[in-house]
Amino acid sequence: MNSHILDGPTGVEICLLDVGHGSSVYIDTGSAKVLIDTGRNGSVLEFLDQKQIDSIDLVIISHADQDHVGGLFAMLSTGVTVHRVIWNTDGLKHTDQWKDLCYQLDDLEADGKVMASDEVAANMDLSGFGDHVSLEVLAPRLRLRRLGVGNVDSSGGRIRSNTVSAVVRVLVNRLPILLVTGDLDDVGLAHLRDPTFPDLRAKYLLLPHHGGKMGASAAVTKAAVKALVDAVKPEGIFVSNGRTATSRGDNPRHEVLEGAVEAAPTATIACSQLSQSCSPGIAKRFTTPAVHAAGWTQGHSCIGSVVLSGDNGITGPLSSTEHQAFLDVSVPGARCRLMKAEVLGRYESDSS
Amino acid sequence: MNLIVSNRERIAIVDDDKAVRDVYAYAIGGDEFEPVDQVGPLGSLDSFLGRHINATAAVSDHKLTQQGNYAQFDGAPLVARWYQKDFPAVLCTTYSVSSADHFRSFRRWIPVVLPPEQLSQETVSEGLGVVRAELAGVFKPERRPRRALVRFVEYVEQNRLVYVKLPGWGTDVVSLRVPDLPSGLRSLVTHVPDFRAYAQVNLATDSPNELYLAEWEFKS
Repeated sequence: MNSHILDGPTGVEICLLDVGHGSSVYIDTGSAKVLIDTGRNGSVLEFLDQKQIDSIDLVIISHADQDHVGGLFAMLSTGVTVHRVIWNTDGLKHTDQWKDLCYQLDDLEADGKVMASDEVAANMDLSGFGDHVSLEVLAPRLRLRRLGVGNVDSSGGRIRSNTVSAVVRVLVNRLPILLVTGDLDDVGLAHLRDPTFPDLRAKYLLLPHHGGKMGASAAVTKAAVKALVDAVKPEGIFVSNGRTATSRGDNPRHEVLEGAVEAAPTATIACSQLSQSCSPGIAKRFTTPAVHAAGWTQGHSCIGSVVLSGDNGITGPLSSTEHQAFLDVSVPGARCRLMKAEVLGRYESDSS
Repeated sequence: MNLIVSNRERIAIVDDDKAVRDVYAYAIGGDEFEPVDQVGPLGSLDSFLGRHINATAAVSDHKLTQQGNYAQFDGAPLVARWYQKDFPAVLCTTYSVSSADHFRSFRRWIPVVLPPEQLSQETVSEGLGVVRAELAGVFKPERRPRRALVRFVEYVEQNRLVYVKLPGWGTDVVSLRVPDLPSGLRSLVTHVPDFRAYAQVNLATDSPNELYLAEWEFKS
């Protein structure tokens, strides 16, 4: 596994963006700008505008779903320069969008504007994007890539787009800071832990699939989330959910929260947007977020976008004063808190 | 004689029904606004735009051609043209999914659409603030125009609609009225399968109803 190691976090910033239902993580390594996924639509452009960024050195697309790849279209059409794209192939993704992306990136590569021939793969070499930050790609493994989406693995597990999600660990000065998991499902997780989990520990975990299903049933999802969180041992767990997403506005699912809290009862849990199941109504704030958050002005954000930098989140704890105050005042039904109270209460009654 | 000078902003009220204009005037009247009734006939759009209307902003209903000969145009093109002339206005209409198609080609220049029942001094004040901010170049993220790839997926001759997909926005299919497209684009999208073009699109909006496409770029 290739890790590039450095000595100080100066200029290093990791932003987990509120892009609505979808994922996008921005990393400024100090010398390079990287995006892991780009969200569903043009929301990522607002962030790039705010940061006055018109050029991205590397985009990693975890898998072929619109809510991870749509922002790349917006970037390319708007004229944001993208130097290199590492993307997950999915021969069965018979959507027009995917076809558009294949043609667009192929044309751009032929014109020498983008390097886009790399397939995302476990253990690939991602050095050269800065001395302070290293990016470790932990999945998908070779057999999943070669069997391909639509196939069945030797355990009978159906390989789907989500199964082959890239799993990327971000380290700053050797400290594992963030694990980004795309839409990893239970089959992909089983491969990740075969024969044993690699070192997945990270200070923060971005949960898979926006707090949605990881498997066919609630029990499978809960077990998968629990196993993942237990392996990562995070201080903070983030969910990249979207309040207005059709039929998923109530993410994170109950079994996801339960699995996460049971595995890491003291970890903080924060969703980018305010789940409909925590608050049926919107909750407007009149403060300005540190960086663009898609749901902020409409009252859709919960924590919004999260910025990890220097001693706020990387070398020290992440300040959550504003978010906690927001929950205190505006979200009495915050399920992250209720679930924690329930699980901790259960543990206490078990031990007494 | 005492001369009373009002500090209230003068708001033109446009509708083809006098009773509705009165309702709108009543709804927005108060400390902030002084409604200015626009009595018909207003004539053609160009002639009305050249007329001095003694107001610094406006509220217009969409349907202006139902009653008598009040106007030869509707409210959506009027509000859009006003925007292009840096004159702020709010469109007042009931906004349904079907009307979203109708307004889509104008929405780039119509930042605020209010249903009649929501018309008040407060909502008009807030709405005009949004319009004025855009005229000054300050957009809400969900309103900001972005250059976007547009793929035409289907043409339905019967209702003169084309269906498009915008990979930078989402997976939903969006319909456009063929007559609203630039003339050079119409024959291409109705004859060339999978035609691709670029347009200015508010890519950060979540709502299909609020989505606009304008300022087309295409190669014939």
